[in-house]
Amino acid sequence: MPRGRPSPCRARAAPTLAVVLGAACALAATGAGAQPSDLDTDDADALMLAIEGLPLRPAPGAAPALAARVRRGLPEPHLLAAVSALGALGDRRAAPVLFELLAHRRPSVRRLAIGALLALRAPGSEAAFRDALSDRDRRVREAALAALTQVATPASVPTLFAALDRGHPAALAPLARLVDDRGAARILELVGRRSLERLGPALRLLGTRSDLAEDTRVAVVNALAGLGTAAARRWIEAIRDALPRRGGDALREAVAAALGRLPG
Amino acid sequence: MSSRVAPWALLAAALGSGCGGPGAFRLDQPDGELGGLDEARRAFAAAAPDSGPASVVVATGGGALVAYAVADRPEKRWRVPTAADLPTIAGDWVLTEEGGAVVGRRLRDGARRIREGTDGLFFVGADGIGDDAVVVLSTGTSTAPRSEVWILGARGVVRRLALAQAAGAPAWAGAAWVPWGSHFLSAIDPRTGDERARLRWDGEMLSAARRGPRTLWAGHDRTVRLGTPGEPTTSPRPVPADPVRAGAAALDVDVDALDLPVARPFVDGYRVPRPRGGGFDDRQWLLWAPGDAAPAPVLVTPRSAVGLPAGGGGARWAMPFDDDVVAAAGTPGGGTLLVFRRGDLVVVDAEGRERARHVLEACADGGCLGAAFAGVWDPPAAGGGGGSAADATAGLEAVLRAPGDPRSVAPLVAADALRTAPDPAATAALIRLCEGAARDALARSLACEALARRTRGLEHVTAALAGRSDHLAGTRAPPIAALARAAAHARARDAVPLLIAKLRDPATPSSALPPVARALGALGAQSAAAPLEDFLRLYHADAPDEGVAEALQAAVDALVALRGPLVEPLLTELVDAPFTQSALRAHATAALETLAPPADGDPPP
Repeated sequence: MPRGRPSPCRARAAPTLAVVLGAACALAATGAGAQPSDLDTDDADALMLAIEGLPLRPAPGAAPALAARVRRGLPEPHLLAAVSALGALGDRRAAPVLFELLAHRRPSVRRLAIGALLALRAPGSEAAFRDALSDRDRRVREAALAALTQVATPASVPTLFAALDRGHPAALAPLARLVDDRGAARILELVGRRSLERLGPALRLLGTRSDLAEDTRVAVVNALAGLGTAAARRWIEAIRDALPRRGGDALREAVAAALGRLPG
Repeated sequence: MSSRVAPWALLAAALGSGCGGPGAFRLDQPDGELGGLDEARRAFAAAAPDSGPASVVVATGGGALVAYAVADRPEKRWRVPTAADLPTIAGDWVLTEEGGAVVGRRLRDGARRIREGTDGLFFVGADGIGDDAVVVLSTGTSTAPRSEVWILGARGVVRRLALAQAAGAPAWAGAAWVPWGSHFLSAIDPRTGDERARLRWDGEMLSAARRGPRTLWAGHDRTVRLGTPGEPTTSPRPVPADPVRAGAAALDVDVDALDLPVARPFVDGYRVPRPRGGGFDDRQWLLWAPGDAAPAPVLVTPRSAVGLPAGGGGARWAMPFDDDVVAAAGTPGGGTLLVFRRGDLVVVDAEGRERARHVLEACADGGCLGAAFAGVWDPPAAGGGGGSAADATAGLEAVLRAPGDPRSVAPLVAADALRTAPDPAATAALIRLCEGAARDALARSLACEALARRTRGLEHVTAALAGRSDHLAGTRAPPIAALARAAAHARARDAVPLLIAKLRDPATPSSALPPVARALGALGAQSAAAPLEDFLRLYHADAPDEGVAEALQAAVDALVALRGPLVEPLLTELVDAPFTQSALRAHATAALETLAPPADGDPPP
């Protein structure tokens, strides 16, 4: 590592990236894995090496040992490394302590815990991510939303709509994937009130979802057509291009009619 | 509270005949040669009843002094042009300060009777019956104090007495009663200028006197009622001595840090000598019906009025105003008369209900500067409705919600009244005020302090503690610190689970964590021990901020309180742990040293 350049191993990274980075940095630093017993040290550097080394060659009791060490309290850098390591270990026995850390007073710890839980795909994570959307720290909410985008089920739709209403447009992506026809209608109410740059991908997805009623998908096309812009036309074309070759006659007619009206 | 023996000694003795006159107000006058208390009582008991004109209001504004006779409504009697601001009525005199002089006019027709230079002194106060009146001018308590006492009669100023001391607002009751030298109240014979009696306030300040029916009130921080002969001299505490001090002491507030005029005497009619001009301190009044032995006073500030109970503590009613009060007076029946800057003359009854509202046209242009009352009438008798405890709570909350002058004592009095109010809803009001409904920072902090010392309506405390900051729901955190202190103060064990949740919740502001930890220790619930231990372990090596650092030490103290010697292993663990923060280690070490060894039979940790 050249002098004067910050080590990527100490840099703040996105939660999921941090999990990977932590393992890679530990590998670079130690060249070998660590043992759970290495966590029992009073030396700060040795402790850091032990934490970062655990995921490299995971020992059977690594996750429980690290979880116990976290509960005994760690300085901030060690705690952040430990959370990343718990995610990298891939052992769901670490989930309970990670759930506890979603209530840690440091937002950085809460963000990393979200990333680690996402990595574990631990049961109960979706509800925890939903709760984290109420966090007072914006970055924690964004991390929770990013995690929910990957794991959300229809049970999260009301919460995602609430997040959308509270200024988190990223909630549109999972919503477009999860909503039913009524939910789709609620998203359509945003057409003309939110930028098409934000809404476009969600509308395209709604327009091509075969599990939605055709009337709903026609309404999507008509809502876009109502904007009368070239950008709207491009999103309708994107819907057209994703349509299956058979079926959906009403939708095809709506697309054709809209494209006939809109500027090229 | 009423005590038969005043806490200070009123020392008096017979004044030998022939003394007085040039010898009045002598500091070297030996005790024992002065007129006695009984003589003083006889003097004011023999005073003629006030025969002045009934129901008169004079107001200044628009470059004029205007007098109204008031029966059902104000009727203008006379108007004279003047730039005066604050008029005073003394008997049949209307006195104003104008251009370095005191101008005296006849109350019944406004005819000018005197114009006397003040020689650089400030008009302090005046009182009178008919043509007879006493006026005091003074430098106040300066390094070189001096004062003048004028005796007025039908022919104008009939006598001037000078003294090299500060003097206070006088009363006319069989003699001219003049407070002076901070401790003395002297009765001056108006015919001779002789000092006929003297009372000394031993160890207390004296700055004002006030006449009542067959009684005389005098005092400064506290006001004593001097009864007629045969009655005991009582200390009925008609007022919460100094509402600022009393309220601040009740709330544990450092009153000096509030930059409040703490020495204000709050005696009706008294004014601290100062350059005139309608300063704020001239516009706070404590009013009470002077005929009552134990009156229920009314505190009036420029933007509020609070009815206080006899004996102090709490409030009977309260009302905020959206206009400045420029003059206020009490009525014999316990009501209140108010004149507002925009010219409204408002009559409030003893239960705090507005009974009448008139407009003084004198204030139509530029507003009222000041007003004075004579022979004031009583509002109609209360006709039921209003005046309940709940109304008092709503009024007090409204007083604290309204933006006010930071020098006003109203927030202190209102917050303290809510603190002691029997109405459980007062707790909910304090919670709302503490969490932000009060617009002024001072009112908010007073509400939080009062909430922390509240012992009633605890269901509101636990309900509020159940709330939390939630971004999606758009809710804010409740005032957790004050709620935790309230729960601890009132021994609300129901709050323990909620406080534990707050200890664990990252949405709890760091500043609230120390009170939460202390409350858990004070409430003595063993269920709090494990969460406190978890908190200590998790953050012992990494306190994200000062609030958490302080909370860690509070958690140590709480655990010592909860578990006694059984907490020793945990404290030892903290002391020996490699990454424990130094302040926490020192605190845990000190706590370890205070632990007694566990007695035989103690349960294991």
